[in-house]
Amino acid sequence: MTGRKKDLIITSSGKNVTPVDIENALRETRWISEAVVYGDRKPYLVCMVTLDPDEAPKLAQQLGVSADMTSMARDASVREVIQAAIDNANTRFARIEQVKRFVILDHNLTQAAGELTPTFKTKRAFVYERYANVFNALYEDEARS
Amino acid sequence: MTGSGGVNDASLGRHDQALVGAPAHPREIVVTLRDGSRVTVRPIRPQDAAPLRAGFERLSDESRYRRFLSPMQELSGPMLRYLTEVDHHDHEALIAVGADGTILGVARSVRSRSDPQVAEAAVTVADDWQGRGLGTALLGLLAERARAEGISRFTALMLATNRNMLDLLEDLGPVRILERASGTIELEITLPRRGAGPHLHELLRGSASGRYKVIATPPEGLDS
Repeated sequence: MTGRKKDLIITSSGKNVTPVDIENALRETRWISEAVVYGDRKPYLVCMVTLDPDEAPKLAQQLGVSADMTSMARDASVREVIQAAIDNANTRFARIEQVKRFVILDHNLTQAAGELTPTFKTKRAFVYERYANVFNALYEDEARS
Repeated sequence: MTGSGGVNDASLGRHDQALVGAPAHPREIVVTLRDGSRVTVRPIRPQDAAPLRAGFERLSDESRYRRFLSPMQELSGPMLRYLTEVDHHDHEALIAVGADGTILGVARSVRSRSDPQVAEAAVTVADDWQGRGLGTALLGLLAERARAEGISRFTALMLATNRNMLDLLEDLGPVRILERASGTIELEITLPRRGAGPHLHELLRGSASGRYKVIATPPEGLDS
């Protein structure tokens, strides 16, 4: 677990960050099926998560909200649960490695969309590209303030 | 055709045919790794779902991440079916099985939808079995199987820092970089043109250099 050099992300302040550990920590959360951290040449890390299709209906029931993925992704109480999970994961990491903002994608990544390869690897470069607007939106308010 | 009798080094041709032959009766071969340990390599079967899941659970976070390029925590039911119920033509997976029946490594190839001569390859080796030549052996045998199914090139997507996998692929054949982005690298490897027989000899030659060796074993049920 130590001495790894991934350097997948180099933030705008020049810090090298590996998203592997934080993504693993996020994925340990029951409700999250996929967590893709982003932040190359950005001031902080953000994350796109997908809700676990098996667990999401249970979360919806628990919160008394619709189990529809699209509405869940936007629901404030769902976001609160995910925020709490991210806050919890963040406590295990240094500031630079913490996820500051997140977005819930309203669907899981698929092979059909080319987001997963035939052997089920996540095509990270493709995901970053495909959801560039989604990721970039997580920095917009910051830029304005 | 299987069950055609014992195979030894003098009848490698028959051995190769059996190995690439009818997937319903897959042949096993025993590979001796450079530290002397022996593993059985054979195509995956639906019944391997439970040991595959167990093997995955034993992998470190690091090895899981390298395999899926995402923080995969467990293999779901549908995923296990996808990984074990393969057609041995478009989708092949060879597993290395230890003496106690645990799965120690998997090499998998899935044919591209856009180019039938191309397949994506992925290799995983149990953490405490890494560095013994098992990945090399699995990938070499997988390349042989893939060749027999009309595949001439592998693609592989990996972390750019995954030096072990890069070395492994470079050993297999000429490598071309398709894409390098976001800390990942995608390579294309041209598989050796030669047929299975000579390639198996190549594997055997590899044993001379101490990397590993391949020992043919009789088909199942024919052990005296």
